[in-house]
Amino acid sequence: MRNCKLIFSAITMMACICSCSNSDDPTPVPTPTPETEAFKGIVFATGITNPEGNSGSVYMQAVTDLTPGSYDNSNSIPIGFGSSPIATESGNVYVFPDYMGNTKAEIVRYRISNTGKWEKKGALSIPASASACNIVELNNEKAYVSLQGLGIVMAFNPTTMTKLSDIDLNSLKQEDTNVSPASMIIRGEKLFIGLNQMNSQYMPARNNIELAMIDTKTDKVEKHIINTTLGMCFATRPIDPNSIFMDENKDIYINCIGSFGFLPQLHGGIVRIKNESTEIDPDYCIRLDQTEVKELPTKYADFLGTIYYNGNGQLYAYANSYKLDPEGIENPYVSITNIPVVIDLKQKTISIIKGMEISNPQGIAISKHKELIVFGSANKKANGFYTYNPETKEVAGPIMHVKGNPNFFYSFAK
Amino acid sequence: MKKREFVEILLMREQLLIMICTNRRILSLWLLYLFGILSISAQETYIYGKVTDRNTGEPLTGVTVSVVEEKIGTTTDAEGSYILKLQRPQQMELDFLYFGYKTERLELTLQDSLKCDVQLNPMENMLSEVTVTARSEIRKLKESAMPISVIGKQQLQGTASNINDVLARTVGVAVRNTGGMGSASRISVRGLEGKRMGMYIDETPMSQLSNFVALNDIPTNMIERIEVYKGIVPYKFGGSALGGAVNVVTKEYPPTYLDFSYEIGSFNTHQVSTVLKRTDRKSGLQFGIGGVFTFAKNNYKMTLENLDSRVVERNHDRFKKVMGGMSVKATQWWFDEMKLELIFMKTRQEVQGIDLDVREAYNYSLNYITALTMKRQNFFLDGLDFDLDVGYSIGRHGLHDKAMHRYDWDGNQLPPVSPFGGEQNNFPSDGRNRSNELMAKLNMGYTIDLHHTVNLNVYADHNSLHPTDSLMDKALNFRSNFPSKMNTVTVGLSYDLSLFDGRFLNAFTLKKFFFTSHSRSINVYSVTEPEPVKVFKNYFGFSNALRYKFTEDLMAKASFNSEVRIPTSEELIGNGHSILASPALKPERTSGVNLGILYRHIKDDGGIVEVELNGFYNQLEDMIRFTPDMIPTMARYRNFGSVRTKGIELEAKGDVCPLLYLYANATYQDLRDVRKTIPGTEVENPTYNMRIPNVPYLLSNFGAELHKENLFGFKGQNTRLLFDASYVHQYFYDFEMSKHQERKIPTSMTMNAALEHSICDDKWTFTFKVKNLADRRVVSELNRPLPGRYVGFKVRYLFK
Repeated sequence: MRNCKLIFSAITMMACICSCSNSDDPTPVPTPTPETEAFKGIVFATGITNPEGNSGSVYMQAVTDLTPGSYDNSNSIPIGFGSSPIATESGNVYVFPDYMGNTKAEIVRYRISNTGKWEKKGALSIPASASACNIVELNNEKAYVSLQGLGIVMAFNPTTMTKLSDIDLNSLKQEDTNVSPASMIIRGEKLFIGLNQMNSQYMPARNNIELAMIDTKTDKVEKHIINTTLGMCFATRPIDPNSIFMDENKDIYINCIGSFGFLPQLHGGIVRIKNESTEIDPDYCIRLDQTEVKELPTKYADFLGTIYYNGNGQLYAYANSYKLDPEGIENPYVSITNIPVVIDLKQKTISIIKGMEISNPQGIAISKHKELIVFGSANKKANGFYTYNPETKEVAGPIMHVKGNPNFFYSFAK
Repeated sequence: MKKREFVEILLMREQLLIMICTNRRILSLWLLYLFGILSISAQETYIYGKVTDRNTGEPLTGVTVSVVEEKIGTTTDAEGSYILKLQRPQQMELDFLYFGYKTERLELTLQDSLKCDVQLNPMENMLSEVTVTARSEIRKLKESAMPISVIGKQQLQGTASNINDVLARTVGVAVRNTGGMGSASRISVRGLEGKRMGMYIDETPMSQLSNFVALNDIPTNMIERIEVYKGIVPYKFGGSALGGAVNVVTKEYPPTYLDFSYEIGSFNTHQVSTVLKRTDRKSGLQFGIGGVFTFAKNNYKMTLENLDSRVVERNHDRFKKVMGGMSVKATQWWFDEMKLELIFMKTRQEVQGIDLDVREAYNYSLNYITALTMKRQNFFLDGLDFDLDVGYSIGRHGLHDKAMHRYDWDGNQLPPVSPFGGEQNNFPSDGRNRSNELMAKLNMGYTIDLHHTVNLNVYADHNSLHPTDSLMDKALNFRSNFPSKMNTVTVGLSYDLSLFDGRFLNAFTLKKFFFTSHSRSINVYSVTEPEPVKVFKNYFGFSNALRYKFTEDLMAKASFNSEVRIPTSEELIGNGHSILASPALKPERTSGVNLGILYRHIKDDGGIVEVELNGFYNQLEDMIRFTPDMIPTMARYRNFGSVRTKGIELEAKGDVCPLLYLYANATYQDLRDVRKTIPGTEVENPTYNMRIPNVPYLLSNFGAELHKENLFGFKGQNTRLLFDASYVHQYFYDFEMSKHQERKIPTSMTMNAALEHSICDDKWTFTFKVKNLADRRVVSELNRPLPGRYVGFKVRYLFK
C-alpha cells in the first residue's frame, strides 16, 4: 500500500505552487543573511515517474531568467517524489523528502547564489512517514511545517533547522477520519492550518470545512474553525501552498478540494475568512458545482488543482474537469483535463483563458514572473512553461521546454 | 525346507514345473496335483524361481518379471518367488525390473520348465546409476536447443541454504531479497521479473500457489536439480510466461530412504527437513512422508539510512513455516506411474518496519494441496506418451494489521493509519481470504520416427478468490472485496525435428491462450455499487529453437520467440480496494532472439570443461505497469510502454584437476525505455532510450570447490571446501536524469564459504557455512537492509 501513498504524493504534487507566502502578506518574514547579491532568477521542477509507476523523482533546478529554450534535468537536484519544494520571499528553498517515505527523513533548506548555484544551509530531521508538505515562516527564528501523515504541525527554527515543538492536531479528527494538516498561512500572530479530514480512501466523509488556528506565541490550538453550512470540504491542498492565501484586505481565501470530483455529494470551491474574523464567512463562497465556467464546454469544474492570486481579486487556476477527456474519470492520472482559468473573486465568476493548453494533472504549476503569469503545462503538444500577460491577454509558449511534468515554478525576480 | 525340497524334487521329476516359496502355496499345488485337478498340458512350460538382493540375499517382493515383447508377466511374492506359465517351449528374453535395482535381462532357450533364480544389483549400484543418469540429464538439457542453465545437486548443497542462494549465482539471473529468511524476493532472468517469470515445480506451474509458497521454501535436500530457462519456456510446462522459467525438479527416491537434516544459524535460524520413503514389497506401492519446519527471528542489525543512519535490531520479523506432505506412488498398475500427493503448509510472518517500528502486523497463510500424476508410455498407441497432472489447492491467507498505535524508532507513539487502527497501508486489515484453484496439465508426445516428434500440451487453470476483510471495509466505509473467478486454457502444439544423427535439433511451438475472468469491481469510486466485470480474450504465441553440433563438444544454438503473458486476476479486475479493474488490458508480448555457442568437453578423468557464450535481444511490448491515479486508492494496471533488452552472458566452469573445480560467469543486460513519445501525446518521452531503473545490469559470480575423498585416511568419506562470490554493480533506483542523482543501490560484493564433510558413504554430512563472509552492508530495493554475516551449521543424515 506504500504504492498508494506514493501515488497520492504524485497527485498532490500536481499543483505545485511557487511561493508559500503571498506577496500581499504583511507578516514579517526572515531577512536573508546578507550574502552576496540575492538570486533574481527562477526555480522550477519537473517530475518523472519510474517504469513501475509507483516511484520516481522530481528534479529541481535554478536558471537566471525565463530564457526561451529546452531544458533537461542534467544539472538538477533530485528531490522527493510527490512533494513540491517551498520557496519563500526570504530566499529560502525548502525541499521535502518523498511524500511516501523511503528517502532520508529530513527537510533541507537551500539558498541560491546569484549565479544560480545551490547552497545547502541545513537539514531538519523529521519523523519517518511524516509526509511533510508545507512550510510557512514566521520569522528568522520560527517556521512551521505540516506533517500530513502524523496529524502534527512542527515548529522549527529555520536558521538552525532545529525542532522547537510539536502541535498535535489529532484531537481535532472526526470520528471516522484522520486529520491531516495541509497548507497554512500566518496572519498577524495567528497561524491558520487547513485541515484535511480523510478516511482510508483519502476522501472526506462530510461537507465540513475545517481549519485550526494556532497562537504563534504559545503554539497552542486556539480555535477549531468549522463550517458546515456552505456545503464544501477538504480545506486546502496539502502540496499547493497557494491554496490558502490572503488578499490586499487581509481576507484569507481557501481553496476547498472537495472529493477531487469523485463523490458528487462532496463539493469544492473557494471560501474566505474575513479580516478581523476567525470564522469562515458564511455569506461568501464560490461553489464549483454551482458556478458555470464561461466557455468551458463541460460547464462546471470538479476542483481547482492549483491556484495563484495576482491581486485585485484576480485568481488564476487550473480547473479540473474530467469530462474534457473521454476517459477522464476512468483515467484521471494521465488524462488531459486541467484547463487554465481566471477567477474573479469579487464577481464570483470563472472564465477560461483562451489560447492556453489543457494539461494533464501531473504537470501543472502557476506563478508569476515579473508581470507575466507563468503556467506549467504537460499537454498533448509539449511539456513546458507558458506565459500569460494579464494586461494584453496574450498567451505565449512554451517559452521553456522541459523534460518531464512541469510541476513547480517560482521566480525571485520582481 | 524339507517340504519345499520335496516338492521341488517331485515337480522336477514329474516334469511339471512350478515352484513357489510359500509353504502354503506349495502345499496347495501339491494337493492339486494329488487330486488330479491340475492337469498339465504337454505344451505348457514354466519358469519359476526366486529373486534376491545380491548383497544381502534378502528376497525382493514386487519385482516385475516379464517376457520381453510379449504381454506375459508376473511379480514376486512376499518371499521373492515367482512363477510364469508359458504355452510352448521357445527362445525368449526375460526382464526383472525393480525400482532401485538394476534391471536384469536373461536370454533363455526354453525346452522345458526351468528354475531361474536371480540376484539383482542392490541399491548402492543403483544410486551410482542414478547419479550418472542425473548427470547425463543435465548434459542433455544443456545441449538442448533452448538457452538454459542447469544447477545440479552438488551446487545445491555447500554454501547454499535455499534455492535463492543458488539461483543468485546463476548466469543471467538476479535475485533480490528484501530481508532475511522468508522475506519476499524478486527473481529476474535477463532483467524480466515477477509475473513475467514462470515458476514451476516438476514442470507444473505454481500459479495461484505462489501466493502461499515460494520456490525458496523447498528444502535443497529434496531437489534433484533446478533448470533456468531463458526467453523460451518449454512447451511441456504449459501456462504463460515470457521472461523465462525456473523449474525445480524434485528427487526421485529409492524404495527405502530416510533423509533428515537440521541447520542452526545466526539470527535464531532453525531449519529442519525430513523425508521418509518406503516401498511395500507386496503391492509395489511406494509411500512417502516428509516435512519441513523453518523458524527465523531475522533479528539482525540494520542501518536506517533515512533516520540519521542509526543502527537498530530488527525486532518484528519472525518467520515460521511448517510444511508436511505425503505421497503414494504406484508403478505396477496400468499406468507406468501413478502418484497421489497431499501437502499442507502454514506460514506466519511478521512485518518488519523500516521507516517506523512496526510492532503487531503480520501475514499468515494456510494451504492444502492435493496432486495426482499419471504417466504411461505407449498410451494405446506405440510411441505415444501420456502425462497428466491434476492439482487442487485450498488456501487461506490475509494480513492482520489491527494495532491502534504506531511507533517511531524513538518509541514515540503515533496515531494509527486510520481511526480503526493499522500500522501499514492506509487502512487496517483483518484479512480472511479464501482461494481455490484447480489445475490440470495434459501432455501427449508422439514419436513418429527417429527424426520427428510432435507434442500436444493443454494447460487449464480455474481459480476463485473469496476475499473478506470486514475491518478494511469498515475503514473504507464500503464493501471493497468481491469474489472473482478466472479461467485460463493454454494449448501448445510443438514439433521437434532431429537430423544428421541428432547433430541438428529444431523445436517449434505454437501456443494459443484463452482466458476468461468474472468479478464485480468498482470502476471509479463515485460509483457506489460495484459493476460486474467479464473478460474473455485469446491470443497466439510461438517460439522456435534450434541447435547444431559441429563436433561432439562444440555446438551453436539459436532461438526466436514471440510470446504473450496473460494478465493476472489482480491486473485485470483489481483488488477491490486499492487497485481498480482494467478489463481492456492487453497481455504483454515479447519478441526475442538468442544466439549462443557452447563448448562442453568431458575429460578422460571424467572432469568437465564448459564454456558458454550467449547474446540476446528482446523487445517487450504493452508492458503492464502499475499506474497511480488521482487518489492513491484508484491505482490500476495499464499497458504502458516498451522495453528493449540487449545483453550478453558468458559462463566458464570446469574441473581444473581432480581436486579442484572452478566457475565464473558474467552477465551484462541493457534494458532501455523505447517509447519515443509520451502515450497519447506528441511530446517526446523524457526517458526515451534511458536505462530502465532499479534493474541490475552488470552481474558476475565466481567460485571454487576443493574436494577430496578420504582426506583423513578413512574410507567412505568426502570433504569439500567451497567458496562463492557474487558481484552486482551499482544501479540507479530512478531514471538517470541528473549528475546529482544519489538514489542508487550500491555495488555489492558478497562472499560465502562452506566446509562440508561426509562420512559413512554420505550417510552423515556435516556442513559449516558462512554467508556474507566479510559482513558487508548490503541493501536491496533502495532501503531494504539485508543480513550481515551468517554462520550456520548443518547436519544431515541419509539412510538408504
